[in-house]
Amino acid sequence: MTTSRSQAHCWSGAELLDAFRASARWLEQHVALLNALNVFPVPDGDTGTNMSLTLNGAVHEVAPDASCAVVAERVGYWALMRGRGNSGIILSQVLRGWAQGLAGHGEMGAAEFAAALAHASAAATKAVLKPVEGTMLTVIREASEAAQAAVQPGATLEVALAAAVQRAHETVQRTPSLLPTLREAGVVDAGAQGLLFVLEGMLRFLRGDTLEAPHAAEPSPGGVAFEDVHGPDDFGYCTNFIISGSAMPFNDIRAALAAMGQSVVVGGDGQMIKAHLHLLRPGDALNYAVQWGALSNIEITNMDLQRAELHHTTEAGHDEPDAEVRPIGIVAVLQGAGFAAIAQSLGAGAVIDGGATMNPSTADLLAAIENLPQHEVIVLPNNRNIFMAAEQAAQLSEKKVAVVPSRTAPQGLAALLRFNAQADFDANVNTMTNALHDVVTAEITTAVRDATVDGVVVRADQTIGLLDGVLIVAADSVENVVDMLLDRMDLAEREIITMYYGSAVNRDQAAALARHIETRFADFGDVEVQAGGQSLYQYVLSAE
Amino acid sequence: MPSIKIVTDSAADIPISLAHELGIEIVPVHIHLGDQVYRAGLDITAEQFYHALQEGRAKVSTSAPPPVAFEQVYRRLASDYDYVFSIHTSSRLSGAYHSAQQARSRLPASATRTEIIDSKLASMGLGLAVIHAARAVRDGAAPDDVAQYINALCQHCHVVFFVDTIDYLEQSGRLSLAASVLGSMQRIKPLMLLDEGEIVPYERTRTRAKAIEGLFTFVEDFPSVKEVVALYATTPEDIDKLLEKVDPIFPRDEVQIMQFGPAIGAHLGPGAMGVAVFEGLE
Repeated sequence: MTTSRSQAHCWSGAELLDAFRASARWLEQHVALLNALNVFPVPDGDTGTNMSLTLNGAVHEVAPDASCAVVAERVGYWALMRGRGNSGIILSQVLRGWAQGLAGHGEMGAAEFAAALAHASAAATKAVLKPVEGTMLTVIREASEAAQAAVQPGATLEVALAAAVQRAHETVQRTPSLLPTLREAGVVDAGAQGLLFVLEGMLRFLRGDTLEAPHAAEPSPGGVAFEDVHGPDDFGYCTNFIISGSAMPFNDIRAALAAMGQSVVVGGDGQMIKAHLHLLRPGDALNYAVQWGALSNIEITNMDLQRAELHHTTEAGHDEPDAEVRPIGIVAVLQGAGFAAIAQSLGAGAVIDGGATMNPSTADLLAAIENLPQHEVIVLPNNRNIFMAAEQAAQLSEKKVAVVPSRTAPQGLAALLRFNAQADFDANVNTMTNALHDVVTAEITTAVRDATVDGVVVRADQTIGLLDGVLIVAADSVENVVDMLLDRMDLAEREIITMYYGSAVNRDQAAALARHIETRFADFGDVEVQAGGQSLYQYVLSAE
Repeated sequence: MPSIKIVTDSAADIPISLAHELGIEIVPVHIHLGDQVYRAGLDITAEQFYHALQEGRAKVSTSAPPPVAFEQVYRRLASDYDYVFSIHTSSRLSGAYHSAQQARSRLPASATRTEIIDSKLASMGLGLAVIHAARAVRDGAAPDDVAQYINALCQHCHVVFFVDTIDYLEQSGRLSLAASVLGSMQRIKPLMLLDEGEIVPYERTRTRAKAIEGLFTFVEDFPSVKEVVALYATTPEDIDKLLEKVDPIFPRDEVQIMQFGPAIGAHLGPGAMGVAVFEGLE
């Protein structure tokens, strides 16, 4: 990649694929930067992770071909399958549009590139229900216009690409003036910036520039995104489990597991440890782990088979569950072992681990849908940033699939609670969708930086409270934040408060907070306390 | 004309005054409060019972009327009636039906024909069937017609209810099949109906407001409704919320309001509410 390609008038399929790979790498270098471009000061920024996993996941799958049309088609398809998070899904639409623009073209010169961007812009705009200016959509549109303007007789690909990058850069800088929430938060739009990195990566490849970012920061260690750790050299069995015990020697267990396999990620504390590792004999890890506590959520996947399977989905041979098969299956995306257990107890057939900072890909959702024995499936995304991937998966599936647009875990559980195995598909979708309005959700976390959002002044490390996704309050104690949230939850109209405490909180702390609420709202009755096990949010409260 | 008597047990929730008026014989279910045993409706009123239940000091349970109680009743009736139709709570939920059968097997040969019927219902679902059977008897129906009529009534009377907490149903063991689908949330107000004599949860809610709406939806889903009974344990004030909803499809003035008696209340607990519906025949 050190030879300059500036003389090139156009790219072959092989060069286009290398260019996409360079984009993927450039994007990956900037994951942390993009994640930090979060309007809310909550620790769930994941735009960089989503876009990078989408593009890197795609180029990893694509086999080379001499034709640009074929390469672009493959990149578009795999980006769709690997797409996760709304920004990742929009990126996948950009890449699908790109492929449409290159249809029938073996090579990509300036004119084809401009056509590809024009189609990319149209496809991305179409994918978004309510297009908003100051986002990826503005960047791709204006970059496309710049590329088009640069297409003159004799113009090289470099000229058009450089024009697109230049304009994309200017547009990104303008996003705060287009979108007030960005202006208030003092950031540029993360998705727009991510798209700039994609185009910039291509240009750097074309010019033979380095693809190492000057200060490539590590992705945030906060969330444990297991998908991140999978590389091309994975072998054996991907093994996941949770150990629940008391006063377990976390560091020792982590060290022991690290010595056993590859791609080891171990998180948690003395009460609960979540482990992921690749090894040839999964039983070794389980035998070791079980001496420390009870094992749950054990998941073992043969990675070689899995790879083959992804190319031929649903070839039967899935073990039918012993339990009586209901006519309608339910897939829920939830983060936290406690939430997952409650959802399963209420009848969810598949729970995908995901949520803030861990958005499942379209392929993850599709696989969960297809693996259920039922032919009708309802998906509960439980996070706005998973809606688009869920809708994509619903469209791709051969089954009858509906997405009930739950924005929070309590909304998803409220919908799931109303699921009625005796009622038909449409009636259930209807009832469950209506149930979303029956619950208000409050989320409590710690601010990662200073910010002013919607008039709320936040200092880093303060406790902050969100009500149905809107930042409401910042204060120095959890109790104060909870009081102010509850004041805004229309308790006169509600009957039940449920508290789901996160993995960073223990049961005694949760019980103490519940007593605080019961004392302050004395005529309300008991607060139901459940272990949610979620990371990032110390507490999730719901009133219904 | 042959004389006919209708018998039931106190889990039918028929008010005593109405039973007197229609000549229905009620065999009392036994209510255990700690060491004390009461006969529901005779030794203990609903108010006394729920008061004790909510105080929560004594362990509460029920037992079916013993065979000897049925035997006494049947022997007494044998001297006055040619036919006895003894209609009882679902045999899956109560031992009353089996007690009655045992009692009949001990009766001396007599001219009186005693028929024991498993209604596969409970509470006012059973109550409505019994009341309509008694009215048919009062209006002079022939024994064969009454027998057929009772069968049809048991098919066309329904009861649905929700509980404030599933604790009472769980403790009484009446929920063994049903509990697994309720999930691990603690505060759940499942709507349940009787299907083939068993308690089957058919909808899950977490608030009384939603559960009351569910009672209404149950009524609304019948193509025709001849009679509606609103049922409560300890919360008569909530009946109004139900009547308001029902009014557009069934005039609220015609809805009968009744209380779950101790025999049912011991299993549902305070705060339970329900609806019984008679669809009408044909």
